[in-house]
Amino acid sequence: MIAIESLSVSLGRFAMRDLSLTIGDGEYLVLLGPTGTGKTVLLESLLGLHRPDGGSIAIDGTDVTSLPPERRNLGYVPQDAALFPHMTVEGNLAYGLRARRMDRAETDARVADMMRLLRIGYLAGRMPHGLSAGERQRVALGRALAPKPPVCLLDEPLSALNESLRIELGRELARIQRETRATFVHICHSFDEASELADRVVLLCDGSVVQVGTVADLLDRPASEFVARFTCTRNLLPGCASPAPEGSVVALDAGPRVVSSDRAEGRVVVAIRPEHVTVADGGADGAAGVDGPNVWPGLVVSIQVRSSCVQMELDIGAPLIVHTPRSSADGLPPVGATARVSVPPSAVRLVPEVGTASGGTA
Amino acid sequence: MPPGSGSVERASAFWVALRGLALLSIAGVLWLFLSNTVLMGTGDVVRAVSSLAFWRSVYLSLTTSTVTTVVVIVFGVPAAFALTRVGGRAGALADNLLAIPLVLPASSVGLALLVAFQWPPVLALQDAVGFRVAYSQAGIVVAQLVLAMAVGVRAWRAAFESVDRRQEQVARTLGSSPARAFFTVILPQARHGIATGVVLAWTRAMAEFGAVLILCSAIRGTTDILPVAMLLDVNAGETERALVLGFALAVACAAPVYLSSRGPRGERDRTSGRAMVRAA
Repeated sequence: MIAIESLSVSLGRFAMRDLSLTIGDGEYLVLLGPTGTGKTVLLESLLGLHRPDGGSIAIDGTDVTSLPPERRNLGYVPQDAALFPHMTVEGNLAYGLRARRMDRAETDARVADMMRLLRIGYLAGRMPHGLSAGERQRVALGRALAPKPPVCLLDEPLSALNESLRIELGRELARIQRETRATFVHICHSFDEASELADRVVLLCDGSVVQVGTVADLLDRPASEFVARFTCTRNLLPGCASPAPEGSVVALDAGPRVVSSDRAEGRVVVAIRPEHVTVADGGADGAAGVDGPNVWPGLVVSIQVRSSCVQMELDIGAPLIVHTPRSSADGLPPVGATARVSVPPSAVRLVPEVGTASGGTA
Repeated sequence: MPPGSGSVERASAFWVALRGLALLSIAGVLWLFLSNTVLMGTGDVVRAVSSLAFWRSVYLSLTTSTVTTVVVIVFGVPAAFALTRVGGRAGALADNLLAIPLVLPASSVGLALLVAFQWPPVLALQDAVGFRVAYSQAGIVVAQLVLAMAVGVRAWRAAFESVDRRQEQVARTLGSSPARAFFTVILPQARHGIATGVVLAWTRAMAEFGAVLILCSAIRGTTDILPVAMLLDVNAGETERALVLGFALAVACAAPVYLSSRGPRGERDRTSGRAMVRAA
């Protein structure tokens, strides 16, 4: 287990302040956040490449804060793989074992195991400069895992790959993590990538942890407008909340009223995920059956067919993005028609507006 | 396709002008070489190379330059690597200090050394040890050392800087100490640049004249390394002999530069190129 307590690191103009985090054994943890939020700094601090200004890092109960990188026993896969160009693939895989003065027979056996695990046996005698991006990442992963570290830290290992290779290597990472039972800490800035791999996600912003949880936690219970935006909650509508028997009623700045099962009072942002909105044909009069909480007539502004869904843009007095499965796209109203739009109050999240205190919602 | 290799590029006035300037430069070197060769007869060459003084100068130049280069390697390579790890103002200051001997006239460096070694406390120290640097063969090494060190350290620093720092960090996370990471990851990758630095330091030592002349003077039989011997021969009116010495010096300096710059494709790696550029 890795326990990070009140870690503070300064690098030039960037500062990470009082960051605390616990990473469990065998966990696949994804450090997520936009560029420049301190993900790599945190990873490199774990590795011992930066001296923290304060706080502590403990691995399995041992304080490693002042230990050099070679004494932390952590695997590391940098973003660009950073293979040793003067060594063969086999030499790269064996490097960490030789550094630990492992005997020849055991080194050879461990290298063979790694090549089998990563399915790179055909690369054994090759030099790194001739490898593809995917092969380089596999070799870098094998090099990091060969000494069997309990924790492997991966700095955007998929970012340099094309989409199909990214998906393929992502699955490989998940399989390898399961087989090795090592703790993986993986940096990325794509929520999609995180949601494919993570047991738990740590979302960072400006050197601080914004939210920690499962992918479902982040999707269903975003702690802030930033989290909601980052997890692709496309409908973020500011308004003023007041208590109601079943939760809250929010008078949106744009006009309509929205009922939420969340309790809040004062300025809030209403967060509605596009897939939680239901659209039905509004009938001949344009808004048949418009009654009950969170049911509005909505003008269909545009319809876009995407690979995974149909995206509709509606105007309910406020702009609303809706994602509908392609399989049910046949019954959708056309552009220019008035549709019946509904959202269950339990799917309406209320998050603090940027710049307001977080105590407004519960 | 490299610039200028296509028909459109070949035809453009810009590339024609560039090629013209390059040819002019090459013609200048050829003119220098041919005019000197014509002036120097076979008899002069035979007479020069059969004299003891010639071989004494060659021997003195080779030995002092080699000793200088060994000292420069021993101190300069670690210093260059250390400098790659010094950032900010300290790094910039070190860089500027190293550049000073390169931009100053060599005679100024020689004069500074002469004054430094004639300073009474240093003079007393030399007397206690039993030899004086000024006007001696040890002085030749000292004079060569200052300039060869400046050239070598700059070249080696560039060679080390061209190795991806991330690889050293990965080596450390894989269990290597800083020393092991240096010897197994950094040094092997910087080897071509380091070799280039050695050649540059050695040739700089071989060609050193101004600083040696001021610190050691031109004493026949004692401090007459090849460049100094040339001066003595010119002053004595033996221009042909000086020319032969000049050719010997040119061959001694050009051969290692040529050898270090050829070789199979791929061996002239980026560390070598950067080292050459940085030192220049």
